[in-house]
Amino acid sequence: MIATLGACASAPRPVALPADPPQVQALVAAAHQRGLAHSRQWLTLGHWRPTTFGGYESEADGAAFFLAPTGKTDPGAELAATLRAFFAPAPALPPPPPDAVRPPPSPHALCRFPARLAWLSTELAIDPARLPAVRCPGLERFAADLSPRGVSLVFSSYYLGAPASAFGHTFLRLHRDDARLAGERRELLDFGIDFSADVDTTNAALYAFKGLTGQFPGTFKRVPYYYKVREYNDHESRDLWDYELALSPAQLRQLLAHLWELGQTHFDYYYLDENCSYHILAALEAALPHLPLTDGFGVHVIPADTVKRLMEHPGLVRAVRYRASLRTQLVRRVAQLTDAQLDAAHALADDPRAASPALPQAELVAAMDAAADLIDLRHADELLRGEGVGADKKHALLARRAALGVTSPELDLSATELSGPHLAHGSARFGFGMGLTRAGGVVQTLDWRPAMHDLADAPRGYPELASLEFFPTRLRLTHDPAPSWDDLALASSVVRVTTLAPLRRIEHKVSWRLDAGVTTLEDLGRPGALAGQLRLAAGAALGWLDDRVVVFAGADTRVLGGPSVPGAWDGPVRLSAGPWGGLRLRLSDPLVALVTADWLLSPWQAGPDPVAVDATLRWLVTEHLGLSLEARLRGEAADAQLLALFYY
Amino acid sequence: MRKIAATAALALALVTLTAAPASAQRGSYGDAGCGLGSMIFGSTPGIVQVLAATTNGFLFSQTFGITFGTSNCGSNVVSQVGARNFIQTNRQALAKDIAKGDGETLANLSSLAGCSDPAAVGQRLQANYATIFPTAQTSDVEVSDRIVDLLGQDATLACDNLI
Repeated sequence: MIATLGACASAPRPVALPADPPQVQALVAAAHQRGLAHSRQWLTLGHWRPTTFGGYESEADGAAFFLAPTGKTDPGAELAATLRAFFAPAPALPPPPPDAVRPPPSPHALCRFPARLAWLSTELAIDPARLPAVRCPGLERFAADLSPRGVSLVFSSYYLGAPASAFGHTFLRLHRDDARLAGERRELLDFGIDFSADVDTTNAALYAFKGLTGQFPGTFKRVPYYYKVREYNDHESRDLWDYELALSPAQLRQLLAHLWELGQTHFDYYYLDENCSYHILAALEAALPHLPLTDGFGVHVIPADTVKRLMEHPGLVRAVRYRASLRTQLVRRVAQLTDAQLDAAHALADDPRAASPALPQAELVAAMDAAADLIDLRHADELLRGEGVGADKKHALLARRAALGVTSPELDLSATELSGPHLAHGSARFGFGMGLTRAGGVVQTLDWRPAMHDLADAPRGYPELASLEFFPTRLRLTHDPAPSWDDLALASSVVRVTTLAPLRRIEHKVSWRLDAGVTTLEDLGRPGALAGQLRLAAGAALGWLDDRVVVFAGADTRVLGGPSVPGAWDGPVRLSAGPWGGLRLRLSDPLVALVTADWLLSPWQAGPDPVAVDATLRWLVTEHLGLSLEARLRGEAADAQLLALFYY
Repeated sequence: MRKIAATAALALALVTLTAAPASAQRGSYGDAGCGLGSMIFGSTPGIVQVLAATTNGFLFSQTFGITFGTSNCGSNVVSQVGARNFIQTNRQALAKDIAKGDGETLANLSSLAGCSDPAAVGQRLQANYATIFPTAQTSDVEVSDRIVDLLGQDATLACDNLI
């Protein structure tokens, strides 16, 4: 590949300048001869990607990341400029002022690009003695502060409070290499490396627009890991999954050196593709250039997919750890309580100064600890600000708990077998199916969904009772006997979200469903008219057997609009409302049954209002293949079909 | 092209989000030290804060440079994670662990402060809960001062790294 590209006229190649010292000229020539400028290692270090027209462009958007004026689009010029800058004489600067907080960055390239230096030194056998003697206090301090013993990719799970976060989030944890601070239960003291956007607006609409169109600069940041834990685990109640990577000491050093390089630049942040997960993976790739970690990611990068990408490389993930969210901790605590303890926990969470429940001390302690978690969960925002009734309640309860003077036993917070994003089915889906209609005809279906999960899909690795779908699209052809265009029906949503929240003592939440998209109106005569629709349903759910069995019921509302829609006041907008409900059974881990029914009534509007029932039995055969038996009833019309679904 | 598709894809999701209840009230963090609230949600009002919390990877604090390791809370907490910053940021979780007399934050604080016996640290702080947290409104900075004082006073705990 290198030879082919080297022969190509437009391929990047380092060019020496006549003014260069002989050793630089020799190195540039050697780099050219070996095709280093378009080797995978160099391209990952500069984050260059091939462009549509055969050239290269770096994803890095900060000018400081490039030493050549054309560096962003010319890996060869950048390589030559890097070699030249490495051998440039050290500037005769005065020693840096004794400012412990902010050591000034040394401008010399040797201090700015340690990862490039390490790799080029190996490839070109650069003699360190011939490089100028430069001191790099900032880099030295950075290396001394961090010098990790290991690194993990951390996946922050779904935030049930907000569907958009169902994509999750990823960042790095650098394990401390300090005997006093490292070890079991000491990971709070590690460092987190995060890629995130620097937001400069408080206008929500502008925020959304800029976030989606790459107008916020994204930068790499380091924070003590406990910030991350408190933010995700506690404030947002998201479980964390920690994938420890098997990196050699040399690879770790190269990763650290490259993170230093990345700290000097920014990347335009695109919410969907060039997002946190993509850039974290790209940073790892620079330390592990032999692993094509970012290859093949297209329109969107879903954080869980980047976790799966790591798992695809045998031996890369050394250990998987789980860190339970506040909510998970509460659920585990509550599961161990007796009814009397549970009563006491709720009473104490409501009024921490209430009369002491008649419980033995050990049982009272467990009830109080559950009550403290309950207050944390209910008043997360108030507690973050340290004010309000939540802060008062928590203070009163904990003072009372501390006065008992006994130590609580440790809670078992190991992961359940169903969780973990690495176990999830692929986030995109494609499928086709065939079946029979009640009238004796044939029905055929094409199914496509770029992201990500619905309630009938096997739940492992996803929140059990939440569904988030972007652009779920189905094309149905019913023919009896010959197909015609009039028999083609489309149902496609921009977004479809369902959250079932079984009522529990610890929380009472609304179960709801939202669907926005287009659909063919088959019920209102043929040919079916295409109409836009917005549906919103809300109700309550009940769950049994660890939510293996969930029933839900409520009301559904729909607004349909389109030129041929028989609507209200003879207009093109049809308003409907009616009962909505269903049943979901997780029969085994990969086998799920789902029945949903609704009856949307459109009073004072023409046209039928059929009862709609959908029943699905879906079996995830392998990680990538599912079989789905689906029956559909629309008033008098009914059909049943078998679909093969491919998850990728 | 794909960016345009991306924009369309999420426009509706954002409509959903903006319908979510925003926690509009915001406290003042003037003297909040390095607490979680001041660092993550420093100056962001209601609805954008909710968006930020849910869209992932959007951090309002621009102050955590990777290279300098400084932050906006006045000390170089990032490069030298000290006991005080740890206490301030972990305050809510630490308060629970102190009341329980044991837990992850106590173990980490104990290591960070160089104390010899985490269990003894837990007992000592539990016994002094009311001193550390005299009221619900005691600031994060005061809490860290009180804990550092308590650990420093007790020679048997041998906490030698109380910065």
